Amino acid sequence: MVFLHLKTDYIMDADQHVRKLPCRVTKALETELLDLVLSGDIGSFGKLCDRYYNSIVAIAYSVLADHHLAEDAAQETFLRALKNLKKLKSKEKFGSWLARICRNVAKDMVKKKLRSIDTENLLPLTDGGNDEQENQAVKQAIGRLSLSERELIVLRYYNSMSHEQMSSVLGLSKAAINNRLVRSRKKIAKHLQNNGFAEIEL
Amino acid sequence: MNQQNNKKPLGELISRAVGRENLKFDFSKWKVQNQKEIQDFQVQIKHSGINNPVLTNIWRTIMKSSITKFAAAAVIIAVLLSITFLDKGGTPAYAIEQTIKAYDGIKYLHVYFYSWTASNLAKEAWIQYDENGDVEKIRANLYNQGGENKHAEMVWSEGITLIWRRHENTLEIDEMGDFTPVMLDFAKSIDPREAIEYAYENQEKGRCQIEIEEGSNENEPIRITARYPAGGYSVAKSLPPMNDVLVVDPITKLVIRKEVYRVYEDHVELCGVYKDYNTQSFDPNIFDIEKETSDDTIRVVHYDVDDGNKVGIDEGSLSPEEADHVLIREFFNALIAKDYSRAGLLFGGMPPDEVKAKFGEIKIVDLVSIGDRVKSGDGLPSYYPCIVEIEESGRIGRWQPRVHIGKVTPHNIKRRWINAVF
Repeated sequence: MVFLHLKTDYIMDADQHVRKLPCRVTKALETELLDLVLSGDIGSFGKLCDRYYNSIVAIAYSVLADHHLAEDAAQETFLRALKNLKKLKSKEKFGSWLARICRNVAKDMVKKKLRSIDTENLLPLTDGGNDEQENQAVKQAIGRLSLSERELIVLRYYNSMSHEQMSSVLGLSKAAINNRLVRSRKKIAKHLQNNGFAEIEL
Repeated sequence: MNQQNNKKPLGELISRAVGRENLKFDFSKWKVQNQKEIQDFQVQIKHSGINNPVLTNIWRTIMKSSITKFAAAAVIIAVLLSITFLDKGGTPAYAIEQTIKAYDGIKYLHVYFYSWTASNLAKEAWIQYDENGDVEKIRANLYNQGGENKHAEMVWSEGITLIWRRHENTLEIDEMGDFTPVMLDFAKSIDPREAIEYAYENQEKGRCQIEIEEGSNENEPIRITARYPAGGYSVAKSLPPMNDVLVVDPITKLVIRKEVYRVYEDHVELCGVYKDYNTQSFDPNIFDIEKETSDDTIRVVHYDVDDGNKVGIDEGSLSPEEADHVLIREFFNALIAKDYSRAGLLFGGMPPDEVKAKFGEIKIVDLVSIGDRVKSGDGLPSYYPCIVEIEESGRIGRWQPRVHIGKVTPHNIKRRWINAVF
């Protein structure tokens, strides 16, 4: 007997040995879940949402720069995805399709002027101390990246996402993700060094 | 900044700045909050019977349109029961969803547009779609936009737009996504599926009337005509009645061309044609516009904010025209003062040495006047005709540049900048 933990890429067998699922098995399971949703099983949709919640919130955060709004955007993303699920033509691309919806939701929220996305206009520090100043500087550096670079960085560091998880929402190969991450990190490091950080360990 | 803290690994710094732990999705709460939508979804799944969203949409649209009951019934029967409906010619009656279905899985679209006289090639477009039918890449060549042999060639991909003006050897780079809505709207305007759905939406709203005319034999094309009354075709209320006609291949059901007519009392006048629709694959390098540039191409990057200096000026509390006047005056004052850095920031972020290369040889003495704003056609932004005094060979002469203004709203702040000077 095999127990499936849908929140992770691991399975536990009857002997309680935990094994990592190869990606393709997980993708097949995802396709099955989508078929179940399309036959009316909402519970399966919940499992899909659970799987993608972190990455969708991260993508929304990269646009909105606000944790609470990002979570609101994720909720709205799942709702729009459910409403439009019948239009999904390639079930294997569910992750990147969901990411696309999320970007649109986040941009709609920006248009409604719920909150500025200009990370340079963060509230001024008062008594936050050095840590807060550091965070501000890092956020500023991230804010100067292009939209796609910012998304990549936030996806990677928002909730310690793996390259594999990022690949499923961005539709990029792991090699491409790695290369772009390296470039983005160098840009951030350069900005920080130009703004008072003496040494950055890449 | 505390030097001791600066030796932390970059990853740790970033995680601390933007990271969030213990993210959990409360699905139960989400279900309660969206109960109605979930119920609608489940009802739709249960009752649809056709698990094809495109057919479902068209079916619903046809039921609400003013197509005759007979034709609508024929479509419904053909779709639901897969029974071939025989007309007098012994061939199945044409139904709109056949064209929409014919484009299922289409990955490429290439089309030419001939403008008003219907004989001048005005635009050429290539679109690449992904597996979901969403636009992935767009190339739009706007011929003679800036004058004879002055074309604008635009490529959009992943939210970035490049605008290549070969005759000027300049490449505008918009990484902020400001051109994205324009490019996606353009793609919609030439996509036959969008044209059909747009026409039916308009018919539902009472803005046009759709007629479908099949050929007298199986080899003649099918014509889908959307008739718009005077002032109803677009935001330009002065337009007379207009007809949009989609001409469909009777065999493949793909669109051959789209004709745009002005309708007069006694005749119709063809004023625009999208034709030679082609869904065959094309060289993907068509989207690689950088390959067509050279090392000395002037690159103008939108909103290069490395130094914290922002391109253009904020509108603030000024009206758009007031802001444009301020912008133009500041630009020419900067040129007079040979402050090419400032002039470059106002001119879309152009690097100072390139501003100097473009304008350094012109000895500007004074900005005499800024005329009333003139609306351009075919995608160029509006412009102000200006009069500038320049010194040439010891004499004062006049230069009459057209200054085009670009308007963007990054981060919800309205900014205006000089887009082009001709």
